[in-house]
Amino acid sequence: MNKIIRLATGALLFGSIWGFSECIVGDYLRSANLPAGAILTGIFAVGLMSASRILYQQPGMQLGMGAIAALMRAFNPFGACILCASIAIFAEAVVFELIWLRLSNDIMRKPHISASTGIITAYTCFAIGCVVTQVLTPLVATSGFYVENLLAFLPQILSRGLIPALLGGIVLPVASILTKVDISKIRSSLYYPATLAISALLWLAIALA
Amino acid sequence: MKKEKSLLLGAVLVLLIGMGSTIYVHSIEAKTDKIEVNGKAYTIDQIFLIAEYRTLKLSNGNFSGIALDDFIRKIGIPNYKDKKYTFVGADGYQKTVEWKDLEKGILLKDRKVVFSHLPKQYWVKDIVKIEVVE
Repeated sequence: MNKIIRLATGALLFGSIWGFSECIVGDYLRSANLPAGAILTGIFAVGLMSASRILYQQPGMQLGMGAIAALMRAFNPFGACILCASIAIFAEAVVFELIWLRLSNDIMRKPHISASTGIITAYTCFAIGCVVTQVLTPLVATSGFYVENLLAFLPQILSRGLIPALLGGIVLPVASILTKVDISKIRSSLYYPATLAISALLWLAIALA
Repeated sequence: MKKEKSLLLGAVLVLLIGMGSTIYVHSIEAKTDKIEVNGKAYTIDQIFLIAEYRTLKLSNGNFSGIALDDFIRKIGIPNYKDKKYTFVGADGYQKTVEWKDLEKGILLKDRKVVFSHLPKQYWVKDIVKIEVVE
């Protein structure tokens, strides 16, 4: 029971950080005319999901993180299609889970393997997230979905995925340092107040933004 | 060992797809200062002489350009209300909208379309073509 609560609070913390970065950091990146989607996926989404996977070693946890991040994004008033952005975030979590289904911490200790995994994970998450948004936004916007529009955009999606792929290839070897950390050794009296307080602060910041 | 090889191979493949697509996207990028509408080419100045101005007051600022519906009406597209319109950017990105969307849309001087009621995904940049779809 204690393990499940620890996982749930961990998912709440990492999902809240992810959601916060999507809302606040993403907004700053867009204002600065930087490739927000590529940076958010390559650094924040892949970094946070892989860090939590390495720390907790629990498949399925990142799906929970994705749900929390998507929920936070849905609460955020910025952006044209909030529902689509939330669905894209959750789609990234689903893709991550599928790629990491048979991966363990042992192989992440090798830098070239963790870099390769980061490249594959970030590229696939970004590309599928883009496709999901391209399909769902027109449906939500009631303007109708046209497959020829998606097909025309596919080469660009595949091209734009290069930046998150390269970022993922750097971020994951950095996150793999966490293989040496044993999260279960953190005392409950410190773990729960810290995770809950940080999560609450992030949600409060989004509510006030 | 087999899993490690697959991951390495997968990463190389992903990078090759990304680089190949980048080369392809740049190679197909149209370099023109005209906009082709239903087979006829217009400069942006010509378009701005044809149609009336419209200003959209949106939460992220005000946008001024020519009214898309007025432009389509004036260039003589038959049965224009029943058609669909595909806006194609220089990089190949395209979005299809209906007549009711044009009534809330404008074309800016920098060849970008803005729709007051549609997500930013529909704001196609560097327009090179407006296709009239049956």
